[in-house]
Amino acid sequence: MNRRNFISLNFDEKNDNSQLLEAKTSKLTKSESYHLLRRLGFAPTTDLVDALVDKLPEEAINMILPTDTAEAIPDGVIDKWIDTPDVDPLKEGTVELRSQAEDRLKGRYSEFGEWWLDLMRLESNGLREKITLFWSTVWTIEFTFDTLSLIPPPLIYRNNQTLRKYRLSDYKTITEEMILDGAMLLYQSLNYSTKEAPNENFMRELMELFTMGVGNYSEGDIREGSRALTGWRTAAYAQEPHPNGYHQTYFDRDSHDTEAKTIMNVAIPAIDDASNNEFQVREKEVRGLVNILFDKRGLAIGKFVAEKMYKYFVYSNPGKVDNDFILELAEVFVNSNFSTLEMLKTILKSKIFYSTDLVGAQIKTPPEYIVGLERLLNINYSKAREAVFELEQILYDPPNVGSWAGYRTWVSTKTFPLRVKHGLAMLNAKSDNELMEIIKSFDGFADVDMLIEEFLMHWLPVEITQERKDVYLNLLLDGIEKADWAEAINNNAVANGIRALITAIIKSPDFQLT
Amino acid sequence: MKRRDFVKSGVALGAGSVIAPYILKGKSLYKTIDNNEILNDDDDSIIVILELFGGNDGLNTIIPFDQEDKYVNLRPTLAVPKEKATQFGSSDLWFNNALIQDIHKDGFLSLMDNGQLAVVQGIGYNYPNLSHFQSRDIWHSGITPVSEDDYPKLLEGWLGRYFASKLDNFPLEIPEHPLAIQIDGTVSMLLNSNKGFMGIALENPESFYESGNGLASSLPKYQTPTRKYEDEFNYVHVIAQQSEDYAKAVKEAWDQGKDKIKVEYTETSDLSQKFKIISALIAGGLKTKVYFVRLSNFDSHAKQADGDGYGQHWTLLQKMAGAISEFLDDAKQIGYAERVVGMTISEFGRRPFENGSSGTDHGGGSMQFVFAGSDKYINGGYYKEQGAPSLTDFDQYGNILKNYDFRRVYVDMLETWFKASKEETQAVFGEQITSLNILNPRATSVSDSLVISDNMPFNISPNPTIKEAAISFELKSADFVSIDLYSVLGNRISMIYQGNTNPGRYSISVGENLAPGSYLVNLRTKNRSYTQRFIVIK
Repeated sequence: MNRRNFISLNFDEKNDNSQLLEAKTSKLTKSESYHLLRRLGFAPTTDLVDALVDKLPEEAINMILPTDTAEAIPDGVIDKWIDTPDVDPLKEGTVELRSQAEDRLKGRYSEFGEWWLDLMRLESNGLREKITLFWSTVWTIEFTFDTLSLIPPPLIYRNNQTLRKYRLSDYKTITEEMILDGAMLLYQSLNYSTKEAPNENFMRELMELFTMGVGNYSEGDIREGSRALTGWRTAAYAQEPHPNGYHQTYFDRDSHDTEAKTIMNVAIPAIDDASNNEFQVREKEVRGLVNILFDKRGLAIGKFVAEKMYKYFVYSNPGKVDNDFILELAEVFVNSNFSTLEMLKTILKSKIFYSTDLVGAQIKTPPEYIVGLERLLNINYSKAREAVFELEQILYDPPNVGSWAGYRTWVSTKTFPLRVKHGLAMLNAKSDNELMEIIKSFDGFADVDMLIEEFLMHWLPVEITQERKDVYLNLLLDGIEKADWAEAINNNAVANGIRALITAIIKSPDFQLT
Repeated sequence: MKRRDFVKSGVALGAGSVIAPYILKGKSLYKTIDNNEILNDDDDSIIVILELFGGNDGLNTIIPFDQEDKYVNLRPTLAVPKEKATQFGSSDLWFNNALIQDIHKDGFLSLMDNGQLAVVQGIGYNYPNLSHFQSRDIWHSGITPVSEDDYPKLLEGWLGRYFASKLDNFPLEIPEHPLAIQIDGTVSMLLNSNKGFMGIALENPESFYESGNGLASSLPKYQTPTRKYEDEFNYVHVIAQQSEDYAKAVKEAWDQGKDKIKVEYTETSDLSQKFKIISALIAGGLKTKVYFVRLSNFDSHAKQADGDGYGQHWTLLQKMAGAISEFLDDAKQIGYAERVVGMTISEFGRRPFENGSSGTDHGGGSMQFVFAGSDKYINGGYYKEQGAPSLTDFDQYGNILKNYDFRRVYVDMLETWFKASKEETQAVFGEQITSLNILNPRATSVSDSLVISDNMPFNISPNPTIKEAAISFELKSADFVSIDLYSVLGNRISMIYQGNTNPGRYSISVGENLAPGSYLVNLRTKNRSYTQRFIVIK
């Protein structure tokens, strides 16, 4: 069956499904607050959870979802190079110089990764980083994009700031910004595209992987669209022209194809020589192209983006009911002029988002797992970046342009053991006193029955059976009588039990879930 | 099938290790099955698959110097210079020297000489999809488009489906050793099925063991699935259990096998090092049936080669040929060569003409290599249609046309090497696909209706013949037998014999009215398929 027919068919039946988006009207319970905060951020603090309890979803969302467009502040490490153009390793004269230049880029790339993971770890009540991370899994960039080239870290840094800045804007704006993004131009070889040899790679992937998916465009659309996108350049390296400054995108009018193009049966007229400039070509051809795609394939784009967002924030393996929800969501998206804020809020307010069927049904992504553990243990793990990368989410270096496969691929016979290993390494880095502090941060810590309830709610996504609770309680007590707990904790003599409890939790299957 | 017998003796590991998504409430059995008893035959055959990801440029791998002018015209800067290619004898098979030069024992040249290598030219599928991912999915799944607008959602691999069909109670019963191993970070769709992944991924046996040991000691129980949460819980639980079990199995094989390595695998090639791991695991007794390895970066849109023929593509071909040559020689020296066959796959070829960036764009049909540890089990040579690949007739987008459905080699792997029945391969691919008959089956001691003497399930005599010949075979038990005549390209020419056949000796005439040339005679019983070459001279 043709997918377009399939989509319109479903939209025709929308009345039957409209209740799917129905908003939750009751106030958030404690476990619902946890759920909301875990999905939109990384392991939340008890204070923030408590602040959302008894709030309506709308109210709670407004408290934690800032819509500012500010950039994140660079730390002292990356600040040293984000504005420094480097030499192109490929243009270095000797193998030694080339590998030195590459090592420099790799070092900076690592520093960028550490900076971003720090932002996630230190995030407090305004949740921005998960959404930024989401968009970077959609608009993929590969740092090591082939055996010959590396994307300069200043461009990756700028791409990241752009995604953060526009994280809740309309999708047309995000699309236009990404088309002209320096890292993207380089990664997709659009940087070399000329009127004589337009590069078809990016136009194909723009439609296939970033906006509408296969089946919605022709090979002709790819060829014509590629011509509209000729001439854009990024000033990536020190040796190169930089009319707009280093690390900025500029326009090379001689490389641009000024003839008319026809995409999806809509013409972009030929332009005269005077109009062949950065401002007008961006307006008429880049934005013009984006407008054609969104005008002609709005529903397909709506469904495509809605599915991405649903899979990321709600459930990664959508079935029929989920797909009906996604179709409804797509319509909200299209009707709000492709507002990603509107779409995200609709999800987070919906009854379905809080349904017990879906809570705890996501497998933690590597940053969710590692950063989450850092936050739970209140530790700045020295190997956080290596750990996230080992768990197969190398930020800004996915396995390929199609991004990470996600869902169950995150946990395999390779990565599950590594997840446990890193978890235990973080735990072992904590002193007994630090573990005592963690346990004492829970209300009513002197009552061990209450403590174990609060603790498990904080560490695990879904309430567990009494049988398992008893097992964990016994680990925590470590031979101490319940009646003696208050005294033991006051004497700071329960660290062994805490260690045993956390060890068991880290190894248990539901700790991989959120 | 012996699985039923085995299940009875399976070991129950107690209530803590009950299995997962399809659990029977209250029952708690975790069983393993001997890998060699899962497939139709009790044997230890192995397939190695090397994926050249990104789309290998077939025209610069096996070079069409029989059409030199056209080739050079299409590729003014990228054509491989003739002095960087080696002709095989006086044939029209020209290897890129990257497959030979500085490679272990002259690489693909000696493999071809030894009769261990087949080059298949012109493989692909109809309505080629030029997206890396869609096309890779098509190659992994073995499901091809039926029209220009057909974009099937592909989730399972052909091997995953086949293995799953042989594991009725997966994951209640799992193979004793990983059924397939991908030497990589994650497991590919190739091994996925509706029952889950039919294999594991590992990069290094030592670290695989270290990280897996002790994981399953204190796991909570599997949960009865009422919500999606429990499904995922049980999934992670299975992975935890398997991590520990397989970590131990792999470690044991690695410890046994690493010192048996005989060949010096290229230190600087990560691909060679991966093949070294495979070799050690096989030598050490791991019963894994499929090894899957990937070599990436074939997506040569730009700067594919320097002006002198070297460059990125050259380096990649060297890695490929080096790793395969080292591995096959090691297999011979260690002594497991007869168990191994392999093939390369790549999601597509490149366009015949180069683009403006010293590269080539995604194209249609291409070529692949099929190799074997022993020349007994492969009909080595150059498989191609006359004149292929055509450098003048392209499809409407300028892509090279395909001559063979790529799944015909898969069918060869499944039917000839893994002894799958026709019905089984039909179920895997959703349609009947004929084998290209590149491989010959291993004659194992397992019961079969055919009497096999001197490793010959049937005889053709005289061969070569000037007029006709007799096909003779002996049946020790009644079976359905069919004998067909094929061209060397795998096209069926005629049916020679077909029918329910009683025990006894048979002789059937073949070859009358045949034009001079090479043919293949295929004899099938219900469970087996055998092929022999047959030559007519006049």
